Amino acid sequence: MARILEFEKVSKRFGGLLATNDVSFHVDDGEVVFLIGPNGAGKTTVFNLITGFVKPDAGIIRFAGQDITGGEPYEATRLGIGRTFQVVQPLAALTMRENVMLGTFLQHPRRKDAADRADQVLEFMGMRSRADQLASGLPLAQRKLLEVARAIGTGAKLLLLDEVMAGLNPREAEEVVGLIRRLREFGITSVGGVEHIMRIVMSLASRVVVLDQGRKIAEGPPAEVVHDPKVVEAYLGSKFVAEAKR
Amino acid sequence: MAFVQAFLNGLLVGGVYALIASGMALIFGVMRLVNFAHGAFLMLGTYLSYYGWVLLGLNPYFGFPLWGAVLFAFALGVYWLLVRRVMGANDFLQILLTEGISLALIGLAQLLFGADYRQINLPVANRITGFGSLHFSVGYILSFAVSLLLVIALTQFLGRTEMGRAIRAVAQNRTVAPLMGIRVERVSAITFGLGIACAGIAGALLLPIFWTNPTVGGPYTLKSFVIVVLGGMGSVQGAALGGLVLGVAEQFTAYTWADRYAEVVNFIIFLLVLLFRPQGLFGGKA
Amino acid sequence: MRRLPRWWPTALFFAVLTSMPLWITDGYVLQLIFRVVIFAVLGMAWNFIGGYAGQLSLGHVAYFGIGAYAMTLSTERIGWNPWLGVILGAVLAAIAALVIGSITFRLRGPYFALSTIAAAEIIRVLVQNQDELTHGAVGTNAPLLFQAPNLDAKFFWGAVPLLGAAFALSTWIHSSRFGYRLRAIRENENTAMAVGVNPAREKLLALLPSAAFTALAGSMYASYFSFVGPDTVLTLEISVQAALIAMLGGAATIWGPILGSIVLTLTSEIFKTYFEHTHLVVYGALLIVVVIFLPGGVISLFMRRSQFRRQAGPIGSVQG
Repeated sequence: MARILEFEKVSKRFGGLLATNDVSFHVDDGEVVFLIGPNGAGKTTVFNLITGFVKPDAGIIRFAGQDITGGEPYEATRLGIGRTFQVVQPLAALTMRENVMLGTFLQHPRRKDAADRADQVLEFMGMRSRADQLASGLPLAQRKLLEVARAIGTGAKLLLLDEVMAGLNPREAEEVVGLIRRLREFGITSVGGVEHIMRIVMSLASRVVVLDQGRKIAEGPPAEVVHDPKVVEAYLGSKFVAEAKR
Repeated sequence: MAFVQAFLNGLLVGGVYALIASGMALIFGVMRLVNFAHGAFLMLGTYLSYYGWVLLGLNPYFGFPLWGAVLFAFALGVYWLLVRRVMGANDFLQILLTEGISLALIGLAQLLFGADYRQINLPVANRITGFGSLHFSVGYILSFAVSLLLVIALTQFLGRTEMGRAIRAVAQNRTVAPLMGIRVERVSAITFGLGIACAGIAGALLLPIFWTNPTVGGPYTLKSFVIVVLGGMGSVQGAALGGLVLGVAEQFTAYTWADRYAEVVNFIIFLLVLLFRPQGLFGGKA
Repeated sequence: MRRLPRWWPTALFFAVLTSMPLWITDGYVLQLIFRVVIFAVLGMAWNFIGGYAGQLSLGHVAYFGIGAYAMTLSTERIGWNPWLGVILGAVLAAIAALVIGSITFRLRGPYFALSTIAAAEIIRVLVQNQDELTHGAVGTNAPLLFQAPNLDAKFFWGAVPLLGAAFALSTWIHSSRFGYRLRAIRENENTAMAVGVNPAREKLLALLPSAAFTALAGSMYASYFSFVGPDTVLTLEISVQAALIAMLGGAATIWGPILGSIVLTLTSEIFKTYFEHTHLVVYGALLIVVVIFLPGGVISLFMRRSQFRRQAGPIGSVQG
C-alpha cells in the first residue's frame, strides 16, 4: 500500500507558541484519516504546513514520495493536494461554475473543457442547477460545498477538508458524508480531514490522529482512540479520566 | 555646523509634518480609511489662513483654532454626505472616493481662488533668530511650537477623555466596540473631523513660512502616508515621531545631495520601509 | 432566417471608427475622437492589471512617459526612426514593469496603490532633474510619426489599430484561463493559490502587456501633440485617468474602457469649452458619482443586472 502523505517530525513555531511540536503521521493511499483534538491543538496548522501556506521550521513532508517540504501552495495543488478552508473563501464575484472552473482549469486549459468538467463536478455535488448563481449570494452550506467542488475540480488525489461540517445541519452533513464516500469517482483516493463532530469522524475515518497543544497524543482506529485515557483527558480534563476509570 | 543647522531645520519642519501625519494616523487607525484627500484639506487650511489674514487681518498664529473648527465642521459634512458610504467597502472604492474628493476640492480651489501662488508677509514670521552660527526663522519656530502643542493635546485627548477612549476602542476593535455601548458611526465622524482639522491647521501654520496654491496638498498627502507607515500604522505617537524623522531626512537630502531630490527621498523611504520593515520604525505588529 | 454573427457590433464599431477621417472634416472633432481612442487604449491597458487582476495601480503614467520619452530621445540622440523608438518604448516599459512590479506586488491594498504612485513619482522627479539627458522640466519636441499632409487622419489611422490590438487582447484575456486566474487573484489570493495559481507570476504577466500598451499610447499621444515634458506625460493625473476610465466604464469588461473614455473625454471637453479650468472638478465629481451610484461602471447601465454581475467588475465584490 503506497504512502500518499508522509508528515515526519514536523515542527512549527509562531513567535512564542510551538504550534506544531514534532508531529509525525501518514496517510496511505485509499485511507480516510481525520485529525482531531481540542481547540487550539494545531490541526489547521498541520494542513497549512502540508499545503505550503505555512513553512515548517523542522521536519519533512512528502506527497506520493516527493519531498514537498516548504513548497508553495500552488505547487502542492498542482501535485495533487486539494484543500478547503475552515473559513470559506469563495470567489465572490464569480458564478458557482466559474469558481469550480478555477479548479478544473488546472487540468483543462481550454475554457469549454474546463466548464464542462466543472459542470460534472457540480452535478456530482448536486449543485448543477445553481451553476450560474454568483458565489456571493449563496448560503453557508452551499459555499462550503462549493469549496469542496473547487478542490475536487483541481484533479486532486488527496483532499484535505478543514472542518467542512461546521455550520451544516444534520441533513446537509449526511449529504456531505455521502459525497465523501463517493469521492473515488473523481479520482480522489485519500482524504484528510479536520473535524470536531465525532459522529462524522466515527462513520468516515479509517484512522484518527489526535493532537493536543501541538503534539500527537494518540493514533489509531476511531473506536479505540476515543477510549484512550490520554485523549479523554485532553478533551475533558483529568477529572473525567478518573470518573471514567471508576 | 551646517549639519546641525540642517538637522534642526528638519526638526522644525518635521513638527508640522507630525501634526499632519497624526491626523492621517487617526483616520487610518480608527476608520481604516485611506484618505487621499488629506492634502487637499491641508490646502483648504492654507487658504482659510490666507484670506483670514488678507481680509480680516487675523494672524494665522492666532486664527488657527478658528480654521480648525471650520474644517472640523466641513469634514463632518463630507463624512456624512460621502465618506460613510464607503466605510467597510474595499480599498478600491475608498481610494477612488477620497481621490475624487481631493480632485474636486482642488478644482474648486482653482475656480474660486485662481491657480496662482499666494504668499503672505507676516513680519513676525520673517524675523530671524538664533545662537552661535545657527539661524532660524521665527515663523518656523512658531509653527513648530504650535504643531507640537497640538499633537500633545491630541494624545492627551485620546488618553484621558471619554471620547478619546471611545476612539481608541474603535481603533482597536471595530466589531466589539458597539457592544460596549460605543456609537461607532459617531466616533468615525468625529475622528474624521479631528484628522482633517489637524491637516487644516497644519496648512494654516505652513502658510506664513511657505506659500500656497490649489495643488500644494498633493505632496503632503503622500508625505503623510510615508510618515504613518514609518511610524507604525495608526499610531499617533509613531506618526509624530515619524514626522520629525522625515523632516530631518528631507533636510539632510537637500543638504548633502540636492534640493530638488528632497521630494524623492520621501518615496524612497516609503518603499524601503514598506518592503523591509512594514511595521514601521516604532510600530509593533506589521 | 439568417442570423448575424455575434461579432457584428464590434465590426460595425471599428468600421465606423476607421471611416471617420473620411467624413469628419472638422480637425477639432477628429482630434477629440483621436484622444478618446488613445485614452481608451490607456484604460484597456490599465484594465488588464487593475480590472481583471484587481491591483489598483495609480502609477501607470510611468509607462506612458517611458513610451513618450523613449521615442523622443532615441530619435533625437541616436537618430533612430521614431517608429523604432515607439517599439523601444514598449520594451523599456515592459522591463520597467518587471522591476516596479516585483517591488510593488509584494504589497497589498492601499500600500500597493501608494507604492505605484511612489514609483511613478520617482521616475518623474528623475526625468525632471536630469536636464542633460531629458531636457528636464522644460521638455522638448517629440518627433512626428507621420508626414504631412493629412496628419490628423494619419494619426487617427495609427491609433485605431492600436485600439484594435488592445481590444483583441482584452477579448482573449476575458475568456481565457489566464483571465479567470487574474479574477481569482483579485477576489482572494489565498483561494487562488489553493487552485494552483501563482499570484506573483500572474500579476507580472498581466502587467507586461499593460505597461507595453500604455507606452504605445504614450508615444502616439506625445507624437501627435509634438511634445514631451514631465508635466504632460508623467503626471499623476494621467495615472488617475487610466484607472478612472476603466472603472467609470466598467472594469474587467471589454467595452468598459471604451465607454469610459467616451464619457470622460467628452464630458471634460464640454466642461472645458463652457467652463474653463473645471476639468479637475469634473474628474473629481465623476469619481465620486461612480463610487457611490455606479460602482459597476457605465456599462452596468446597459446590461441586465444578472448579466452584468457575471462580468465580475472588481467593485462587484464591494464588501472589503
